[in-house]
Amino acid sequence: MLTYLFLHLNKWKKRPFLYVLLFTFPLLATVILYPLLKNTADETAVPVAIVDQDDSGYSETILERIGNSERIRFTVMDESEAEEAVRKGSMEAAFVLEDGLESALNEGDVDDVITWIRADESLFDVYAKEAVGAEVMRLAMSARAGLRVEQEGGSFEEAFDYSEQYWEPEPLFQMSFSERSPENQAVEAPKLESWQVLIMQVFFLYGWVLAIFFLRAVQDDEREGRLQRIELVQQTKVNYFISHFLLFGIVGAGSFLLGTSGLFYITGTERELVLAWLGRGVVVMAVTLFVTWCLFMGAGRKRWVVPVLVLVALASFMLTVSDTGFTGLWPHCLLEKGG
Amino acid sequence: MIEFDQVSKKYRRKEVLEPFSLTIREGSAVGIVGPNGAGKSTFLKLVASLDRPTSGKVLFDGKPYEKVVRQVRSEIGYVPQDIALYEDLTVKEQIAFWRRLEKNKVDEDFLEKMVGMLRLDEVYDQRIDRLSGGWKRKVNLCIGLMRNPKICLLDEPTAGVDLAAKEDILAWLKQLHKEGRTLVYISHDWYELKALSDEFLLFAEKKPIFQGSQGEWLEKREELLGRYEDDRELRRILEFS
Ligand SMILES: Nc1ncnc2c1ncn2[C@@H]1O[C@H](COP(=O)(O)OP(=O)(O)OP(=O)(O)O)[C@@H](O)[C@H]1O
Ligand SMILES: [Mg+2]
Repeated sequence: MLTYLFLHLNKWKKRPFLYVLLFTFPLLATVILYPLLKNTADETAVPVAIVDQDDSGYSETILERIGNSERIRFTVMDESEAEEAVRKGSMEAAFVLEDGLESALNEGDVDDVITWIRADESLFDVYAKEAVGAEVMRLAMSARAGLRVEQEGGSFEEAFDYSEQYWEPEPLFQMSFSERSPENQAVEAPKLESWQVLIMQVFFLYGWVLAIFFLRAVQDDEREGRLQRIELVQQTKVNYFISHFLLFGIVGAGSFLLGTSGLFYITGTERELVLAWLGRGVVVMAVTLFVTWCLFMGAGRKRWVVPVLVLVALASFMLTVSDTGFTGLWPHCLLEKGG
Repeated sequence: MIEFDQVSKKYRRKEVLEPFSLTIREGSAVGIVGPNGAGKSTFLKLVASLDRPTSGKVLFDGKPYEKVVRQVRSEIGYVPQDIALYEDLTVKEQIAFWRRLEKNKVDEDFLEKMVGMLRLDEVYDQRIDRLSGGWKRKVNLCIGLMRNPKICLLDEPTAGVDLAAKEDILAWLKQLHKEGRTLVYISHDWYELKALSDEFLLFAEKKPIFQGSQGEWLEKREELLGRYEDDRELRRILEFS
């Protein structure tokens, strides 16, 4: 085993960059691309739905002012539409400007004038919440100040206190939102995000295909007469094949596990989930590689076997991801069912 | 002693060797000659236990090959016609790699002598794929024989090697033969064959058509020439001997 490992390491050493890149590609892709994607996600405007049930001058002002924010992209909807959109994930969150908002603000009452609808997956809606909250506070303060002046009876201290009260004990945003999730949203145990599962599927495909390409080394040894030489020198080919099976497994599973672990690490996935998924990944990968190896050997290690196996791997991935119904025993399906 | 008993070989449906029987005596030096595609290399692979006959039996000291395959493989050194080396290793790494795989105990003196004779130290640190054809063949020969085998099977070991090196190799092989090893040697070069062989084996039309000493060869030559008048390649081989 070690002799063959050194042989391949020696071969890989001649083009270290290429082979290290090939092996760690999923890991590198995660480490490099994730922060980039995350930043773009941060920078793009957060889509939120606004439900205007008050339909007053104040609510219009709020809409207008939020519309000027570059980081919020809002759409006016009715309440049921908004809930549906949040559930489906097309909107990060929805804010309902409740009926009676204007009169409540005039009274200086900022609590529960807005309902905040969000899903568990909502990530970037907190910013929108702050922005909406700020506008509400501003209106409330202006309204109270305006009333004071109108009544003309107020002293400086009184106007000052009115303003101050909104900054105690913490500045701004102390208004309470009534928060709720869209209806029908079942409470579920923690699970991987669907995009994480997808990436894992891609890494699985990558590791599998990489291992399949490694089989070409075995074909080359046989075609170019080195395997016969080994058979003579070692008196049997058993050792050669066992070693190469192990190397084949290390190439495929190693690359997959590196990438997946990197993904979990960088996204701060919970330990339990990580262990469960990695465990499952290892088992499915091991079985897949074993079956692949048996097919390779069974088909006499012919030239056409490698492209056919690659096609099988691609089919497994595509059919699982596109979910067209041709599921069943594809490795990617087995991997997915882990959730 | 290696015996072939009604052995034939087919690849898929293509018959490459028709049933034949012959014996290779221990300690003999058999020079194999014959036109391209006659089945010489196929025969040598059968001797090396690297291929199985389609029918018939190959016996090693009277025992069928399947039963004693490990023993056979421990006694045979095989130099294939095609260069069977790891192209991206240097000569030094190549030797180290094959040594590590070797089940037999490697005789350091023998290896050192062979490396010296082939002057491989001149190209020790060069990768195989950067070597010229002749050098590759010398490395191929060295790897095939480094286990100091009792039976040396050589498939055109000097093809493409320059004359000086060829002379060195021939002298070396002669020495091996003198020390009691069995040589089975394929070549298209009569000079080599005559220098080395105490027995010729002529392959033609998918089977051996002559086996015998150089004296017997001379006696049989005219008869064979008459019998295979229409076979141009074979006639040239016979005429040039
Ligand atoms: N693995 C194989 N599969 C199919 N046919 C083969 C195989 N190996 C050899 N042959 C065929 O067997 C025949 C004999 O080949 P072989 O290599 O034994 O000839 P040879 O006498 O060594 O010729 P040369 O002098 O060119 O080396 C050829 O027709 C060749 O095409
Ligand atoms: Mg040949």
